[in-house]
Amino acid sequence: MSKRRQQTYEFADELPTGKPDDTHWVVYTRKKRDGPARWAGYLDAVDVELAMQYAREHYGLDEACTGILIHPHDALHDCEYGIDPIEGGDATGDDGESWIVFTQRRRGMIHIEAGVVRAPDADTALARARAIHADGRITNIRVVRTADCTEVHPDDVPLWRDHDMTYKFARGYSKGVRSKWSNFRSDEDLERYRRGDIKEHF
Amino acid sequence: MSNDVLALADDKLMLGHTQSDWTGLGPILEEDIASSAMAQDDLSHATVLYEALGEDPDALAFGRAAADYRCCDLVTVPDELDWAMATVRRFICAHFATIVLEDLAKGEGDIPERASRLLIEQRLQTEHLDAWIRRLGRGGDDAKGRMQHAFDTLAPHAGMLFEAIDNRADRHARWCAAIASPIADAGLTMHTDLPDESVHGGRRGAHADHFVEQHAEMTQVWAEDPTAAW
Amino acid sequence: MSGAANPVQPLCPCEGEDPDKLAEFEQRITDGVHIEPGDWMPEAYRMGMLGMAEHHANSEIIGALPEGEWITRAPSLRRKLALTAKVQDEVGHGQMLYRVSQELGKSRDDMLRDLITGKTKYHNCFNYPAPTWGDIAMIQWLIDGAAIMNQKTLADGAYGPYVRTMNRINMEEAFHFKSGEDMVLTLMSGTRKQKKMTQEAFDRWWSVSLMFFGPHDKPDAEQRPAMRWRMKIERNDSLRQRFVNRFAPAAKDLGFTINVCEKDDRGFVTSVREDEQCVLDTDTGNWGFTDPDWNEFFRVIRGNGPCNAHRLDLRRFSYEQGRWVRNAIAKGGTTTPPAA
Ligand SMILES: [Fe+2]
Ligand SMILES: [Fe+2]
Repeated sequence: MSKRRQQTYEFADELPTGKPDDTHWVVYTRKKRDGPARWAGYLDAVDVELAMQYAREHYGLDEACTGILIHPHDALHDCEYGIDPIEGGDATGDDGESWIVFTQRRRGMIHIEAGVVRAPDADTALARARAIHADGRITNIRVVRTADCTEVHPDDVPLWRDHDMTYKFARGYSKGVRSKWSNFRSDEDLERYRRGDIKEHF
Repeated sequence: MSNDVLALADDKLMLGHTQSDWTGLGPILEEDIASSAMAQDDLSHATVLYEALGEDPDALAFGRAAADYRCCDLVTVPDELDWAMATVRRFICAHFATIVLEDLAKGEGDIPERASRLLIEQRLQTEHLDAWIRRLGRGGDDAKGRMQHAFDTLAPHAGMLFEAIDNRADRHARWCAAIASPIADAGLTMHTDLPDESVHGGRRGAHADHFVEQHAEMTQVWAEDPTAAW
Repeated sequence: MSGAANPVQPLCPCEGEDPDKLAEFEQRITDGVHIEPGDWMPEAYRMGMLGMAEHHANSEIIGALPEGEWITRAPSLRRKLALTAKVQDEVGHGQMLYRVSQELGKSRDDMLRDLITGKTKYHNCFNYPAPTWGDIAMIQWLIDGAAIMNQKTLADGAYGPYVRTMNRINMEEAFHFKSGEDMVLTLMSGTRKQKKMTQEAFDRWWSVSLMFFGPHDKPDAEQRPAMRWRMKIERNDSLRQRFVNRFAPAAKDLGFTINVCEKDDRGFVTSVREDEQCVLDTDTGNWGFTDPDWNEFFRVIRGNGPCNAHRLDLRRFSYEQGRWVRNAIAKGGTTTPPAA
């Protein structure tokens, strides 16, 4: 094992003083080029440049990512989460700045980009987004000022790598695993095992 | 030209090897993940380049005697368990790789196509590392001291990147130009002369002990039975 | 990887809470409604979820260490890449799970510090050594396999932010498991020496993976907050049985002998005997197994396992070495001029 991992370390008794959290960021990715941005996760970073670097190297290297959108956590405004689908309302108007709208289909699910509204402030943006998107099938609306969102497209910056990346996905092993199992188990047993695989999410 | 391909591939293999060992130990979880992704890129690039040479990548990566590797000294110099050394090393090497890939992309055969694809990812690395050199150099006295120490320690090895490769004087000049502005922006300095051709180093198989140790560790399991599947 | 042996919850921790709100909260949980940010929750639930996500995150971060030891020695380019990516995934899981806890009121730095000083715990299984490449195959096959079974149930929990994170993480766990299965299959199809190494690794990890699911449940587990509030979905013992039902026959088909082992203080096996209980009960459909040594389990949890000190030391090295970088990044924005 490497020296770094083998070494015996000497430490002072006390840990050096700690620090507060960096800015929290929310990360969304696009599966298809023209598809909606879907919640992917979060990260901490001191500024937007680092946040996007981190987002690209982490969430951008999951399967089929064709775009990344991030915003500071503080920039999001969620309406109250409904137990049942939330009501629409009749707010209208399109004055003010641009806000990106995300909706949640059910509690426990992720937020997915749904469109854009214009509004002078967050409450108005939520009300206007509600009138358009609350179709009796969503439990939450989130709005984020477009100016607070930062996005990269693969045309500008490559996200997905061009060389063989199958080493980091289950599908990179499935075929080999199946053929190797055939040395140990009959086809019939294997099929039963495979069904168990799916059931147990392996 | 295949000399350059092998030299670059071996650099990337060993750089990916040393850097991937930091996975799980980096200073910030997010940067740990990002730098590990780039270490994986280096290992993948080595694979692509070995294939370009028409050889079995694993046989080249694991099956050669230490003296047959063509990586430079710099990629396995001990990093003193310090992130400054690790970052500066990657920065120096990434700019060298960019220049070699730019040249390979203009060559003949099936190398240029591969090289230009790798170059796109190589530039992601140089951008990332340029930014980190700036940030750490400007990050206060402690950080600045550590970064300058890393540049001072690694500078003597950096010249040996250009041992026994094509157009060394020209490439050295381009590399100096490429690294100058991030280093200056960071408030740091590095000076590297082109060493005399008579000085033999890793590119001609005269490896330092630290490479030989790393090589032994890297090939340890593989060497238990080179004919076995792992 | 990871995330079982959830922190123990007191039985009735809701003194002083508004009874109407508490009743409404519990009704939601019973109705299968997820808890989302902004919802009222009892303080004990907030603390419980925070602790659970923190323990899970700690386990991911420490879980990166045993396998990390083998990145420099992986025996092919593809295995080296896969192992690096796998360990990197675990760091990513830790990062995401810390965020869930941050949102519930604790800073990341405080969590990393409490981990290092032993104030908070991580999963026990990472206190065992990985002395051979065969151990890497075992960790990914057995421990990640156990983790998937557990985390799949956790994704059916009630706390929305944790559930979303778990769904994301589980996608990556499938890679960890398949890669491990591929390694085990490769080694068990290999040379005599490889098979011997792999059997020895299996002996080290089988009982650890049985312990993975935590100690036997209390009889009233369903009434206790962890399960009543759907922070935890399935009993430890029932998860363990499902694990054995899947892995015992697979191990036997692959040519492993399932042994009951004694180990020394370093976690190395000193004696083995075949587990005669490990047979299929055709009436119940369950595979039998010898219960792991729970004294060992509690000894290791209290900090006296083979690798506890080493794991925490390395984590502390990372924390202390990284401190200057975190300070510099906080100061050294791109707009800061270079210091003279
Ligand atoms: Fe994990
Ligand atoms: Fe895992």
